[in-house]
Amino acid sequence: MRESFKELLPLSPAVLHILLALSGEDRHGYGIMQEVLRQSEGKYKLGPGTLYDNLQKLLEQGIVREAAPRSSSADSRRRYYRLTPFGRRLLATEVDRLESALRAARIHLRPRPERT
Amino acid sequence: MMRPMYRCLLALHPAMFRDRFAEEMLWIFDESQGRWPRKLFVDGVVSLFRQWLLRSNIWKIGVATAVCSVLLFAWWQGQESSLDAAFSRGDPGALEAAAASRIQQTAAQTAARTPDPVKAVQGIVDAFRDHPLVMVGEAHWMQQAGNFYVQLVRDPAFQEAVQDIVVEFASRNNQPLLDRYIAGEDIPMEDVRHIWRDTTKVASWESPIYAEWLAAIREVNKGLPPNRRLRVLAGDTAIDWSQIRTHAEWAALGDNNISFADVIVNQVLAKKHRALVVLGSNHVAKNGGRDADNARTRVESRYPGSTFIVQTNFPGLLDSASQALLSSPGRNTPVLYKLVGTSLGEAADRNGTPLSAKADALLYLGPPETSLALPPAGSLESTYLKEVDRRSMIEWGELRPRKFLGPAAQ
Repeated sequence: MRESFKELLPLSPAVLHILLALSGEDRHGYGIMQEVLRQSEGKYKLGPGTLYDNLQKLLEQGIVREAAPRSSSADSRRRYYRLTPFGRRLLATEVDRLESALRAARIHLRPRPERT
Repeated sequence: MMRPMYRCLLALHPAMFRDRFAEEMLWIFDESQGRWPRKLFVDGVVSLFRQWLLRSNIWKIGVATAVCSVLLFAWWQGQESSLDAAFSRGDPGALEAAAASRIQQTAAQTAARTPDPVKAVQGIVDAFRDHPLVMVGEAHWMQQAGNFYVQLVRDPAFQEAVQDIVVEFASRNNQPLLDRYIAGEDIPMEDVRHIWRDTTKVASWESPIYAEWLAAIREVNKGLPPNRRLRVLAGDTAIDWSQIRTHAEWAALGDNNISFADVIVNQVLAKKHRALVVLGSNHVAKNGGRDADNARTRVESRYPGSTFIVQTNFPGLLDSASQALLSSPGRNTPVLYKLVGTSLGEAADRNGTPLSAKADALLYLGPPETSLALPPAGSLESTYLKEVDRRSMIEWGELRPRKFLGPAAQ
């Protein structure tokens, strides 16, 4: 059986930002929200409802999984999430797709000499 | 004031979402220290509608009720006219037939509210058409389950559908012994017992149902051509008890879900085989079970869509109202109920989790028996029991198997 991302791509903006936030390290929900804010330079504010709705789906699809807390003293309500190897490959595929789209966009939008 | 209101908003979410995420959302509310309360409230309200209208199945119930009402009304109009016609003709026979027809149709509509079961063997064989793995979550030691496993492997359609059976009750270091036994080689029973005795879980497979199942597979294989014989794969983590002295050494063996998933991925899916997998319910639950990352979630992360999960019904799984929905056509005819999109799937287990969040189908083996299949009294040798005591002290720090082995350990 070959891995297929067909049904999962393209990623929604919220999912893309969540996966990007988790690509560097395990984060808890609030950490993901802050990282998304940082990555988007304050332009994309993810609410907890949207975040956990998407996390629920990502957990069910095996794209993200729960990770062990970093320290035993951490607030017990705080759960950490991690990108699975499958999730990482999915994100890499999406980034490739976006790069191709960007390349095409740059070619078509490049300023051209005006016709005379 | 804001915090209790936000908490109420979270409490209104569906149980499945609330149980998993409400505490975390409240924690985020606390962390934000009231910096953007209005935005959090709007987000909470949107989330509430999204979870109820899109993620829960309540909209399906609404649509189904509306469609049923329209159909029922249309049918009733038709029946009214047939009854009226019978009355107006003064024909008692026609009147009786019309009334009987109405009663039959009403009964059929009532029955349709609960999912129709299919014979369990057929249901499992059918599931292999779309999934290379059917994972059965069992409650250990149930005689009814043992009978069903034997029935399943004796079925020609099942033998045709699968190549492998992955079990929890054997450790991977015993795979060569298991292969020899299943292939029909003459091996003294005192050696064969190592298969289910030397596993990471102490004395957990002494119920005769496991030995009987292996013996049944061995018999089935004798009647099959070599290239179609069933292979039993030991799923449990490899262990050499002669080298285990302390709990730390035992704990260092790690999570056996990793081992189950590794066997399934490398011995089954990588070879493009199909397998029946029988593990404890927690190891196969769709929602990850107790450990959040179980054998099923680990396999699905590598092969999405590869699993079909069957939860065995056992005493205490369902409340009496849900239990009353279940029935089988005969004592020895186990049935399978599909859970996804059915009223039974919405029924909560004893932890409040909807069944459809844990499994794709429910295996009903008959009215659940509370007694388990124990090894016969006095059947366990004293040298083995002494070793069980040693292992038990390492694993649990107490002589727990002495309790669950019953008279066999006395």
